[in-house]
Amino acid sequence: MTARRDSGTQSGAKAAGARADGAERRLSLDLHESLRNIQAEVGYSPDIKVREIRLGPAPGIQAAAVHLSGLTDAQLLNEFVMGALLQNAEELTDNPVDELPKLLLGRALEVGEAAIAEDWNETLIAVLSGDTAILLDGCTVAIICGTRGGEWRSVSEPTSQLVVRGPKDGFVESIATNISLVRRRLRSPKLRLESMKIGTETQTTVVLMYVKGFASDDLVGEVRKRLEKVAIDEVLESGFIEELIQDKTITPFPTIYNTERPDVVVGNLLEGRVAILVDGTPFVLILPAVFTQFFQSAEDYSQRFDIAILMRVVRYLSFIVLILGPSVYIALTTYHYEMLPTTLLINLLAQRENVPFPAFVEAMLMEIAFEFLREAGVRMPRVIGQTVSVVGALILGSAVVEAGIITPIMVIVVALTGIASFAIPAYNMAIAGRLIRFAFLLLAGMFGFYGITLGLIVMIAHMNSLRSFGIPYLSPFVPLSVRGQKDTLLRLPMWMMNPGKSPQQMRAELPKSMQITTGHEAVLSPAIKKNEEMDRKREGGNSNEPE
Amino acid sequence: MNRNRRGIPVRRSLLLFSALLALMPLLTGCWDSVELNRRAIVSGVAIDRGETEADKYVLSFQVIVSEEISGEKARGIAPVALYTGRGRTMFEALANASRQTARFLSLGHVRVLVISEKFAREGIRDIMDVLERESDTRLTSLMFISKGQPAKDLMSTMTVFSKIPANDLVEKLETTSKQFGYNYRMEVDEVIRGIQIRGGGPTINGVQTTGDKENAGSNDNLKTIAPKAILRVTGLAAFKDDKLKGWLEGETALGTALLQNQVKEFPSLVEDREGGYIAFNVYQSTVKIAAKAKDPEHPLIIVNISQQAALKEGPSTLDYSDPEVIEGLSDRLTAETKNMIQLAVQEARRLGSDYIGFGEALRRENPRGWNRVKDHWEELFKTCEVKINADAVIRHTDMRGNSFQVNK
Amino acid sequence: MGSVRIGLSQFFSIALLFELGTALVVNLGILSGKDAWVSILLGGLAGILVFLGYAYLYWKHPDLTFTGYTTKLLGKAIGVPVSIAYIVLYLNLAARDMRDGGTMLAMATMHHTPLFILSTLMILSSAYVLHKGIEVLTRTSLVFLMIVLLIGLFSTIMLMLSGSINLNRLLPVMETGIQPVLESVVRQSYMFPFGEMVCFTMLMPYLSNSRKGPWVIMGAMLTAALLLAYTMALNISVLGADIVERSPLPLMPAISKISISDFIQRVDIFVVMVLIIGVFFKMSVFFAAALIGISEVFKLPYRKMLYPAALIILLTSMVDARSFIEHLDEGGRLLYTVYPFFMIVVPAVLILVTAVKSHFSERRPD
Repeated sequence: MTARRDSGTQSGAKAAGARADGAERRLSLDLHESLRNIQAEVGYSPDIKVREIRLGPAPGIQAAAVHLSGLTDAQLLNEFVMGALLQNAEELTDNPVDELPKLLLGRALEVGEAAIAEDWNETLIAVLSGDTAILLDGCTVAIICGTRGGEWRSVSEPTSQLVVRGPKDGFVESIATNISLVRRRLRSPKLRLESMKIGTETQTTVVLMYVKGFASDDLVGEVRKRLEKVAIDEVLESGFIEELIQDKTITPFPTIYNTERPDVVVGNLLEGRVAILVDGTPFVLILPAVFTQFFQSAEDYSQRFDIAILMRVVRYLSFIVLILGPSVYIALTTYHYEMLPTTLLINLLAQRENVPFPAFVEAMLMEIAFEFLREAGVRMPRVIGQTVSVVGALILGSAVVEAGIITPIMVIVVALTGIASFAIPAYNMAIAGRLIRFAFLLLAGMFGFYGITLGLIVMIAHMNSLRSFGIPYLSPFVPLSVRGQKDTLLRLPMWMMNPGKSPQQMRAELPKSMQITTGHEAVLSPAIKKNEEMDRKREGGNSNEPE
Repeated sequence: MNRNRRGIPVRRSLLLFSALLALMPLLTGCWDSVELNRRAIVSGVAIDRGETEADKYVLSFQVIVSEEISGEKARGIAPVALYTGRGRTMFEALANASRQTARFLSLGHVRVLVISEKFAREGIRDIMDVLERESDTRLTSLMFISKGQPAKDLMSTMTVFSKIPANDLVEKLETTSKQFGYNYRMEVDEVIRGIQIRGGGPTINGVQTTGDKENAGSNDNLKTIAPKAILRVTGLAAFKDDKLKGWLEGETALGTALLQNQVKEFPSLVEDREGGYIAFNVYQSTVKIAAKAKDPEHPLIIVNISQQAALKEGPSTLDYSDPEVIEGLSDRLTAETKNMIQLAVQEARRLGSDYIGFGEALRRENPRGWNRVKDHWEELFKTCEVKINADAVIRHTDMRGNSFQVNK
Repeated sequence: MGSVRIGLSQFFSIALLFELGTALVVNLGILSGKDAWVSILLGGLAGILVFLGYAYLYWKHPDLTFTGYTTKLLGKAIGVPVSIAYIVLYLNLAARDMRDGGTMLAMATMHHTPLFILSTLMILSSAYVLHKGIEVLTRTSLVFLMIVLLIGLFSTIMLMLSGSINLNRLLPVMETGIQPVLESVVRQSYMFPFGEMVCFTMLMPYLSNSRKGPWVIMGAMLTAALLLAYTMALNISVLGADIVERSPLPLMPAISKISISDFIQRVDIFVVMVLIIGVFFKMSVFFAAALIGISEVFKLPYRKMLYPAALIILLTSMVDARSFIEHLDEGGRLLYTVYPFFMIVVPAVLILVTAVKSHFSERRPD
């Protein structure tokens, strides 16, 4: 089922009015001239359909409905626009032509969303977006009927950010559907949407979404300001916008989060963040985004908190392994061999006999080969992708070892970093890690742990210099905020995370009779008895309070 | 602010960085980076006294041939190779040995250092300086003194349990130090501290090969069930300052090790009245050495020792369920311990070296007094009064009470 | 830059890391033998007292850096030369620190890498971080303080598990009386590293809370004194005073005693990491102090002088001395002769002037 509503039409049209065309153009009084103009403007495109009708008893008023086939919902158009026009408009034709649009709008059209457009561009954009424009002869305004629809991919499981437990629906390419997915989860009147069109050519609908009272006004204002500043021809994906509104461009680290998951968007909106939905892509931007956010997964909140903490720790570890794995191996074997346990060292030494490359070159080659494999695996059609990974991982890997070109331990190290890169839930953070890995590899090859340590300092300084919409990238670690630690490396139990509410208010408590006890504490210990009495009192007090 | 940051300096710094980055790959492979397969890992070093001053130091390096140990392409040759270099100093000898090898001699994994008895009697001071100074060698290497034979022999004996003889030696020491032995880990820094003890010296483990020394270095050594030559950790070499003074064996050595608090577990025998022995396993033994020295010229050294033991072997008709019998046995155990310690102290006095650490105890107790007596501590050590308080508890009699011999 | 405000936790961490800096790995206060830790504690207390003086100056002039109020109090004719002298001091200290770090690194692991390359890499990293701003430096210090503390914790636990710690080696405490301890306090530990806190007078205007700020820094100094004393006590209890005395980097052999069933061994690379981190932050703080001074005195933009100053530090550190022994000897003499002038005498004069001025200006309204 595709959604039909687009709450953004109105303001979207306004944004379009500000197109660079300059002077406002109005529709012509003559219907045919208008139609010709429209046809000419879109280059007599075959998918622009003009249906000329006469309203009212003969001779009637000449009118035409213009729409793009494929972008409009055919049923909607036929039944509620055309049908309504032809049936209901009869009695209206007595009125002067100038008032007709208003009357039609008010009394004839059965479509839920309709407006009057006075501007030429507005009309054109509306038609190009899938709405139907009704033009009347002798009238310089058009009636825009919201008939957007057409074929979209239906809601399915997201392809990235999978969860074992949690909602399985993902965003699709239709912004209207996407908005509905969010709305369905967040039935709050405080949810605010602001729509605008970005892209001088693509005229892509971009919706800014936030929850009033949760997101700070400064933040929303800043995002709005930056979005308005964006001057670009095309917006085909949220990445186009992401790059233009982020704080700083020269960094491998993503400073804006993106997700395909509506539940993640809702969660973030309620944490006071702002979401940007872009028409035509299932990836929704969430900002501001800090480093720790890229290591969170929707599943952390579905699983028990202790397990969630374990999963988080694993992810951070995997990031460290990803960026430092091969470089630490290089540093250990070529600089600090004394640190390796003797037996391991002998083992490594035996492996390295007769291997033609220095360890650094070996690591570089393998890492690059791994990147080939990964890239090939991602871009290949899914059927071939499997083959690629089998050939690459199994055959190439073992052949290279057997031929004595690469040491087995290097294959292990590279495979480990590869797997580690997949353990990071955010794809863009994983890419960043993979890029940085090469820098560290270089440093380790030249300076061992000295290079690695300095590299770490520079990397963390760089991360510290980053901000995402004013929020320091490494917060809440730096600057340190103890309160902020509740949901970063740790994921405390729900009842501890919610500020201002005591555990008793958040948790369902079992009635005393059902709690597991040894059965005779009350008899044994007066203290317990006393506590129980106090509990009873408190419960009594609670029940008096209004819910 | 933000915009300002993107001024010229960024570009310049980027330029600098990229120039540097472009330069760097050219330099890779220089400097300190050494590929593993360019290294010859040394597992043990033997230090012998050469005949003349010109080759005073004869260093033998036991180098691991890794392929023989864990590689797939083993050629069936010896798992370690021995390279010997001579020189007037340690460093020269190392350089000379290094010239014979195809690879860099890497001392980072030296686990065993064996010094020949001859050298030890002459003094090991100069050797220790190198071992301490060199950043590649480790302070945790174990020191040994080869007893009555060249140290080199010990580096060239094939061993059963570890392909690398040096590792075998380490494992042997560790086993004996954990069970039934008086040898204990003696690492480089401990030896140095020992040498620095006023009036005393370190004690270092002795090691020797027994059996057919001729064929010890070949695989033939291991082809028979009973190896022809065996590496053996035995005896404690007692030093005065940096010179070997004598060997401690048996109960004397055990007593010394007890005084150093280095014994984890040892068997203690008590003579049974009916003849034969009753054996105990003393599994815990704690020694505290204190001093009473109002008058530093006449110090009283107090040795407190408490032990826990279990009956291991009791082939007698004694009634082990009687607490008094056990009490009696533990008294005799105590006496045995006292005896051992007395033996150790006597031997130390005979050798004239306070390697037991009485002087340190005095120093802790009365630093000012120690300063007055430290120059003639040797004499005081020989005459000072020593009081031994021993206490032994027999915790249990293991899986049986009385011996079956009782119910005959 | 003036609008930058740096939080207290960050100031705490940069001050602590600055204090630990190189002091953590060298044989600090070893003139007093096995009582080095006492000497460090006393030195720390003395350092805090000295710092109270700096804090007083700061409280009186919360918006001005050291060079700022020097010029204000002493007038341009005296103030500017004094300020320049301080800038030179900071540049020199940064260079000396880098030389320290580079040489120690060369002694410890990088035997063949040219000192110049090691130093260049270090100063470039530092320049990059300072280019991002002082706030970035302090924030980064927070992360690395955690790393240093974690390494410390790990090492302590491992040393305990290896059974290398023998507290008897610390006994008897002060066997020859308090004399040598006091001497080493005077000669070493109150100036290095505690007196060097004088460069924080350049950074303190960035404090987000001017009332609490100096107290937080003093807390960092106290923590540093405790940690340094603890480290030194650890070194001595592992190696004995004699070996520590003769090692330029005693922490390294101490940590190298860690050996857990031959699997975890020779982790002295952690010490090298601590050394690099320490040198980096210490040098960067001096560097930053010098930069702030330069930009104030010569009214130049902060970033413009970044690379020239980096070059000066790099070259100074290279020509500083021919050998490390010479370098240390020179350092020892400076510590005893020149630094007290900058760290005690000049601030004392300023305190006097400030006190007199405020005394008179308070009188008037009465």
